[in-house]
Formats: sequence, C-alpha cells, structure tokens
Amino acid sequence: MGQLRFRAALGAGKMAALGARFIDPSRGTNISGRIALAIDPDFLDDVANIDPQHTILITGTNGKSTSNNLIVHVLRTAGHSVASNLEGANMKPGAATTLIKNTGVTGKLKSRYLVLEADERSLPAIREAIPAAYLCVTNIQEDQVQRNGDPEYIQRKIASVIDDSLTVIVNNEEPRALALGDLAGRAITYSVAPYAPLAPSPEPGSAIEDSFWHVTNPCPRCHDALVFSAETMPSVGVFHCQRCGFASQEKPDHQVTAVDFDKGEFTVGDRTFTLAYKTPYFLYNHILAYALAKELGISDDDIAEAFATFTNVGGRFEAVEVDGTPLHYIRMKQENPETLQSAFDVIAADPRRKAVLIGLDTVHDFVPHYTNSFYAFDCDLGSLLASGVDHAVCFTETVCYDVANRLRYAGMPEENISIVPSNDPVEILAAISDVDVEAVYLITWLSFFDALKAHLARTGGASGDSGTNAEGDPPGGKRDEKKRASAAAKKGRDAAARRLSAGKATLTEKKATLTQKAADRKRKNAPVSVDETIDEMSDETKEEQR
Amino acid sequence: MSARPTLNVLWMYPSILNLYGDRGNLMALRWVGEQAGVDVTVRRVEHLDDKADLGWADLIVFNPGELALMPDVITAVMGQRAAIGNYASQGKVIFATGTSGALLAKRTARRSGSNFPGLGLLDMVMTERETPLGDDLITRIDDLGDDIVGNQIQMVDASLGDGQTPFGRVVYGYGNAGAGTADGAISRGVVFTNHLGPVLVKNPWLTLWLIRRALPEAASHLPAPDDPQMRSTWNLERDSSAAILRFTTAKEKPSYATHAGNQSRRDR
Repeated sequence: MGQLRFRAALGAGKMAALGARFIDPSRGTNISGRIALAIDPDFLDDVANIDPQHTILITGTNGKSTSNNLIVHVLRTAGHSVASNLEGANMKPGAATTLIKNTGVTGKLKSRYLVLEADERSLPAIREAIPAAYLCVTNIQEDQVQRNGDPEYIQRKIASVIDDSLTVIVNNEEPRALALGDLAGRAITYSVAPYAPLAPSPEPGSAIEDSFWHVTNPCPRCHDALVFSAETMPSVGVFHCQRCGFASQEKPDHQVTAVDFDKGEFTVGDRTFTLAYKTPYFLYNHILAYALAKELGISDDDIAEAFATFTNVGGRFEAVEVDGTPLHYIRMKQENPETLQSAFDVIAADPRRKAVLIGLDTVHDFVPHYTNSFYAFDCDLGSLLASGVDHAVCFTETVCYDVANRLRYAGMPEENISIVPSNDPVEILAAISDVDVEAVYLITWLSFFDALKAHLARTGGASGDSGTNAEGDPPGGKRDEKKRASAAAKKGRDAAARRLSAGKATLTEKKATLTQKAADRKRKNAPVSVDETIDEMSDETKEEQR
Repeated sequence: MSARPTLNVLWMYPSILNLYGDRGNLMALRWVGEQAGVDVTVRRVEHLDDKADLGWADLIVFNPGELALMPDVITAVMGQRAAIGNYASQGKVIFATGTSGALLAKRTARRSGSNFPGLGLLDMVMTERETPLGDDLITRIDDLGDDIVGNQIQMVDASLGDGQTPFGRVVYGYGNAGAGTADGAISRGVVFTNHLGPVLVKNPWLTLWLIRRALPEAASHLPAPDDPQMRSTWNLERDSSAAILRFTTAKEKPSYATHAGNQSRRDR
C-alpha cells in the first residue's frame, strides 16, 4: 500500500511538474512537491538510491542560496551529476519537487549527489526524511523576528537535527554556527582571516558611527558578552568569550588567508582563486564551498575552474539609468539587519557622490502585517555617511519617517533627507530630480524595483543597460512627466525640510565631525568597484519576501 | 537651576540584551536629554561578572534578550539583589522591555517545564509562549498626552498580581497575556513594557517622561512631555506615530479574539 501510494504521488508529481513547465515555469518550484506530499506525506522517505555520503544539506540565515549554487557548480565542474533545488524552493515541498525531477519512474534518484538548500525552520522535517551525512551552516542571525522571535530559536531548530552521524561544516567566525559543532559527530570549520575591510571605518568590519554604541552578541555557551578582536562583518570575526573560553579557532580547517578585492582574488594555502563578487559574504560562501569540496575529494584545479566560471543566479544587484545617472539596486530582506548592513557597506565602498533611496516597508509576511523598522538601529551608518551620500530619500507610506529618523540619529544633515510617504516611483524619483550626484542607490524589496523598472521603461527614463536615455522622447511623455516630477520633488523636499529642520538637534554637529574624519580615512583607501559587486546575502527563496 | 542637571544611566549588558536595535533607546536618552537641557552620561555594564554601580545611577535600562540566556542574566543581577532592591525602594527608575520583564518578575516558567526566579520587583509571573506574538503596539498611559507607538515581539506572557498596576492600556496590539488590554507593569520607578526595539527613539515624549522621573529634584525645571517647544522638535516622530496609527486602523486584523485591535476603538 505504501509503495502504491508513493508511485501515485511520484506520478502525479511528475505530471504536475510537466504541466507547470507549460503553464508558468516560474511558479513550478513547489507545486509538484506539494501534490506528491498531499498524496503521500512520507514521499521523501520513500525515494530510493539516496546515498547519505553524497547528500548535503545547506542551511543558515543568510547566504544559503549562493552557497548551494556554488557547491553545485563545483561538483558539476568536477564531473559529477547533482540534483539540487537551485530554484530556491527550500522547504519540504521544494525538496520533494527536486526529487520528483531527478528520479526515474521507479523513484530512484538518478544523480550521484543530492544537494539541498534547507530553510532553517523546515530543516528538521527535511533531515528526518533525507539521510544526509553533511550539513553546511552559513550563519545564524536575526531574521523574520515576527516568526522566529530571536536567533536562538533558529539555533535550536538546527541543533535538533544534529547528531553523531552528521558532519557539520560551520563558519568559524560566526559564534552560533560554530557552537553547533559541539553537537555533531564531526565538525569542519571554514574561516576568513582578518583583512583590510571593504569599507574602511573607525573599527574593523562594518562601520560604526560611534564605537560607544557598538554591540556584539552573547556567547552561545555561557551567555556572557563576546569580545571581537576583528570583525569581517557585524559580530562575525575573531572572537572569544572571556568567561567560558569559547572562541573562534586559531587554526580552522580551511581558511582564506588573503583577499584582494581589487583583483577579485583570494588565497587558501598556496593557491589563489577567483572571487567574482566582492563582498565579505561571498568570501564566506566560497570558503564554505571549498571546505566541502575538499572533504568530498575535489581537486584544487576543479575548484579553481568552478570559482572562475561561477555566475550566481538571481543576483541581488542590478543597475538601470535614470536621466543618465546610474541607479544601482541592492535587494534586501525584510526584518534582516545583516542584509541592510551589507547594502550600506556596499554603498560605502563607492567613492562617488551619491544619493540613496531607502524603502524599508511594512512587513507583510502574515497577518498581522506590521511596521517593523527597528532593525535599522541594528545597523551602523558611519561608513555610509562618510562615503559621500549627498542626499537620502526615505520612502514608503508608513515606515519612511522612522528611517529618516535613523539617518538623523546617525548624523546625516537634516536638509539632505527627503521623506516621500509613498511607493509611487514618480514621486520618489522626483525627490532626486535636481540633486547633482554621480550615482543613485536603491535599497528596498524586489517588488518595488520591478515597479520602478516598469515605470522607467514606460517613460524612457532608462533602458537598463544602454547607459543612455531613450532618443526621441514622445511629446507629452517623459519630459512632461519630468516636469511634474520636478514640481512634486520641490514640494516634497520643502515639506521634508520643514519637518526635519524643526527637529534639528545639536548632536548633528558632533556626528558630522566624526563622519568627516571617517570620510578622510576612507578616501585614503581604494574601494572596490561596486559595478562588479553583487549582494548575495538575500535569500532568493521566498516569494513572500518580494 | 544654574547648572544643567545630569542623568546617569546604566546600560545593562549591551551585547547580551540586544535583539531588535534596542541600543537606540540609549541613543534616545542622550538625544532627548540634550534637547531638554540634561547632560546624559551612559555607562555600559558589559559582562555578567561586572558589578553595576547602583549608587551612581539614576536610571537603569534592561533591553530584551533571548529568553534562553535570562537565567544567566538573573543569576548575575541576583548577586546585587539587595542593592537593586534598595535602589528601587528609593523610587529610582528601572526600565525593562520585552523579555527582560522576566528579570523584574517573580518568576518565569519555560515551556520545557523549568522555572527561573526574577528580582520580584513587580508582582508579575511570566510564561514562555510557544510562538511569538509580533505586531504593532500602541499603548496609552495616563500622564502622557501622546500614545506610545512601537512594536511587540512577545515571547513571554505576563500575568499581573491583583494589586499590580499595568504600565499602560493597549489601544492596538496584544496585551500582557496575549489577551486583555494591559501593557507591562509599573511600581514606583520600576517600569516594564512589551514595547521593544528603539521605543524611546520613536516616542521622545516617553523618553522625556522617563528622564523626568529619574531626576525628580530637577523635574520641575525640565520641560514636560507636552511642552509645545519640545513637541515642535518631534515632528518626525509625530508623523511616524500618525502614519502607524493610520496603518493599524486600516490593516487586516488577526482573527484571534484576544487581539486589542479587535476591540472597540471609540476612544482612539
């Protein structure tokens, strides 16, 4: 009876997968798995020919999609067949869909390797059904607090699947992930040695507007405050607990010993590898993939070839043009301070004079929707402001005021902040229509960027890749719209200036001094080209986060 | 008053009690203090083994932390239990948000079946929730003209004793026990609220209210939270509050019967 149900589920799943390809390929990542699981809730357990030693699960808060993609690319470059949920459906139906697509009619897995990105909350259900020998953990950080509450909840979820049979591959510099190694049969650590930070700042790692306010994390073992002697990212770096002795390992198993962001290279041992995307997050993704590949017996030559040819799917950095000025979009995840901080750091690495459009929005994960903006206060803005941000536009209907206040607290001159309580691209672009900058950055959800691109396409304001405005702008089209937008901009800026001037505080001057000092330090360094930078930290898995 | 008053603030365990941008509360105390003519000095009590200089402090801030680490934090503060009790008995101010209410409560029950004690400064018992309650939260307290607008990620429910006064009344959001309209608790200067994150940034009127309570001798010389000049400097925060109020009024409410958003809004 069980086998009959499994066959029925598999057949229905395959039919659904086939149908999804014709109807809407973009929506087909989950549907066949959902159908199969509806028919046979134990569907995952019954797939045959899964070799635990060739099965890898990848989980963590940020970076699991890119790590998954990179690992699969390394294995395929080395000549192995791999089944994986590269489309990013990382919950149980997504895993089922992957298996449906990669099994024959008898339900046997056809590929040598099975590599699955697993949502942290779904990990226990996936691990229960799929006998993986390896678990890769990227990091455990604050994310989706309305669901998760706090990171310790996620740490417990992941810890619940770890036992002696499992080898974990964990980030040596991320304390919560490293602590998971205590529970496993074996732990392999990967590491990035301290390096000159991407965006130089008063402290190592991400900028801080004033070191007095700098905070880290509690020790996952004894809960005392961790002390970081170097940070490559916020609360990721060389750390120790002075109370219980828990610390990042001095000699991790695999370590990036040097990085040259300008050249796009990093070194492990005596071998230099290509780094296509120049953020700290990508370094960690690469060294994680390297650590696993070495464990699986992949040669350095194959790894090097894979890293040199890797192209991340669903990159989180796109550029369009608005009236001849490049507009760089950086995708962020809602309620996730690490992705917001990384976006700030990428912008801070650009020495050009720039405007920043920040669209933190109400969170629509589930009912009740709410107005969480507090994670902006988890981020440090010192390097961002020191890097030459001439103007900031805070938009979205409800949360814009809180974001403007965050910038004000960081010391941004209030006359340089515009508030646009709207999601209308016309109104938002109007706020920068007469701001003289060399680049514009946009940080917000993907759905708004899609709307903006559609608007620009309609108005001829940008072609996305031509670098020029559309010729022959139709009468009454773009120019008229620009005129209206310019008037709207002036009105909006005047109103914003009135609001902000009223709230001016003396702290601004002190912070501006600090900001200028940081700017001076920064300009002595050569930042990387942001045109070549892709923000990987956002999961591309959950459509509800668009 | 010839000299500017000074407010001494202890920031308890900044890297341990640190979940939701809560450090903004300390920034706000300094920011609003400057606006009100108060020199605000903040000292960090960094490690669990560090002793807090309670004799120096006018205001102690406990931001929320992971519930799992609260037993260790409570063990640390219990080492100064008598001194903290003496501090509180003088009417001096302790401000705790979110899960740090467990530190001020009589005890907290975890879902695992274990319990850990609190300082017992509030007649309150906490119970860990299975899942957090996350939403906007709007609270009204009697001596503030403006509502307190913020967020809750409620991981523990609070049950107040019969004689225990709530900090405020929920006009939107979940109450202390998920149900009801009580937010937090207050006993003289000891204040607990379910508002977390940088609630003092978003609500400078509450920040000034706290500063005035922490400096009773100077309070008569300080502007009041409804002072027109102070309010004129808080336009951004007031715009934020108004926008969130509009949002909470219009948005789809959860189906739970306990949610205050489902209750009458006649007094809004």
